[in-house]
Amino acid sequence: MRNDILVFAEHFRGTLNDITYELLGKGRELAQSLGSRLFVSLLGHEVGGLVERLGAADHVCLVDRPELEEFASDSAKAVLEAILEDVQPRLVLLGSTSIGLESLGLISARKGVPCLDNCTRLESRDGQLVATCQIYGGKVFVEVALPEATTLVAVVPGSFPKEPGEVATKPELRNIALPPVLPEARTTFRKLLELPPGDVDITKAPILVGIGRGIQNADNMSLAEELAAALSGVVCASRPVIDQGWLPFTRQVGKSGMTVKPKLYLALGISGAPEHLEGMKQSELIVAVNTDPNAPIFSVAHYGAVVDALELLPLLTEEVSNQATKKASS
Amino acid sequence: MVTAIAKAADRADLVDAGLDSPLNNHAAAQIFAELLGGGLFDLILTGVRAIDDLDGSLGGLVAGTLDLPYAGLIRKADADGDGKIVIVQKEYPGGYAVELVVRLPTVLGIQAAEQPPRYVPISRLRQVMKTATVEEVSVAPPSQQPLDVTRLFKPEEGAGAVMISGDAQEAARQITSLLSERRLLR
Repeated sequence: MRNDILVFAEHFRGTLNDITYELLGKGRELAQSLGSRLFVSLLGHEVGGLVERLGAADHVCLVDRPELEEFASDSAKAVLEAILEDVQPRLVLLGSTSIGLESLGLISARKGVPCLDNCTRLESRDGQLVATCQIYGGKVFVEVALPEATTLVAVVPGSFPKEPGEVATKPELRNIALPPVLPEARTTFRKLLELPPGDVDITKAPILVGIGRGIQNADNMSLAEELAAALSGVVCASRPVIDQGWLPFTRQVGKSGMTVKPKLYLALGISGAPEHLEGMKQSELIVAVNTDPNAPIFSVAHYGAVVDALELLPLLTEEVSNQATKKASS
Repeated sequence: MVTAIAKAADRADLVDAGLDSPLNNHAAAQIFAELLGGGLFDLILTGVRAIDDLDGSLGGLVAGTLDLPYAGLIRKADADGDGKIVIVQKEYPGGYAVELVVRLPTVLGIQAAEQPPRYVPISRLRQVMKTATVEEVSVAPPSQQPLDVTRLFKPEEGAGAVMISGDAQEAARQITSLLSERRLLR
């Protein structure tokens, strides 16, 4: 087996997702280190225009068919399997995203090849590929020596820089042998569901007060709202708060919610599961407050305090309000 | 297991698989596939991700092993009238979702139930404890080998963050000072 690398490109509404460039950049680095070739698969309908954005790869496996318009169909997975069969890569890189994870375990089991999820680091040590992955909500890291056989690795978005993967030249097209008619799909796309209109757009707010399990109950939500008002910011949350129905889905930050990059992200009572971190770690200033000194949120925060968020909230609101009053009177 | 029956399940099986290696969902999937395959069930529901998932989540692995379709991150699922399909909503990044039609049999990874039956009255639990039986099922140890884990380690405590010391009052004062310096206050 060669040491070739294959990246599964993700795109949405005509644009390549950042994770695609992040994987291409890492793939390019590893391919150079291993002396191998970098392939990228591009599946969809009328997506040929995206090929010229994939120049970090040596070859692009383009499959353009109407039934591939949405990745969620199992036609897409059948095509991915055919590409794997054709390229026979040593390493397959996918996003640990709602799109990539749909294929990871399924293809791993069907093809009988190993897979890894939640990867945040990937390197070649004298030709031995080593992946570092997060488990237990990011509180433990696992280092795994990848086998020589084809291995699928799903990478957490934001783990690698995207700039090395942004190369605007056209890679060589590789023809993939596919049956003229794909097997009948058992999962088919029906429609895209847009966000409900009316709520504030947290991706545009410069100051966000993020709350997590530490808020404890719905009655304490007003404490967060008061701090947000004092800071002229907006309250957002990690998944557990949204699942409780204390804030609408439009305020969720993380893997299946929004990706935010505000000037200030105050993380209060948020432990920092990988799914949440990937949605906020590019904020300009992150201040985290949690009672657990080992909380993963401190690994991405610029400033941290090990105190109870519920105790801090009214005190911080008061300090901020006093400061504003002083400023106004000076 | 009894609580599961009290909430909704008709039957509960406790599986003794002799799994001696953690972090090996491929082995767990092999066991579940052996127990759940053969057309016994039209709909197999799993979670989306467990905290110790290293080699992929269980749902996709079980589906792949049984050659069934899989859709994960499901926040809503409705069975169609004729019992041949389910219509699901799957979460996408950026707050979007897609509606999919999935033909049965299938495996779904459930992200969030709409109205999960979290609370079981004690009276119901007591009643079930008297009548329900939990089957203990033994299966042969799976053949799937675990990954070659070379190191387990904790991230450095507070790595990357400048830690603010003191109690909540002191933290409030220092955070306010920091925000003022950064011109982030009105």
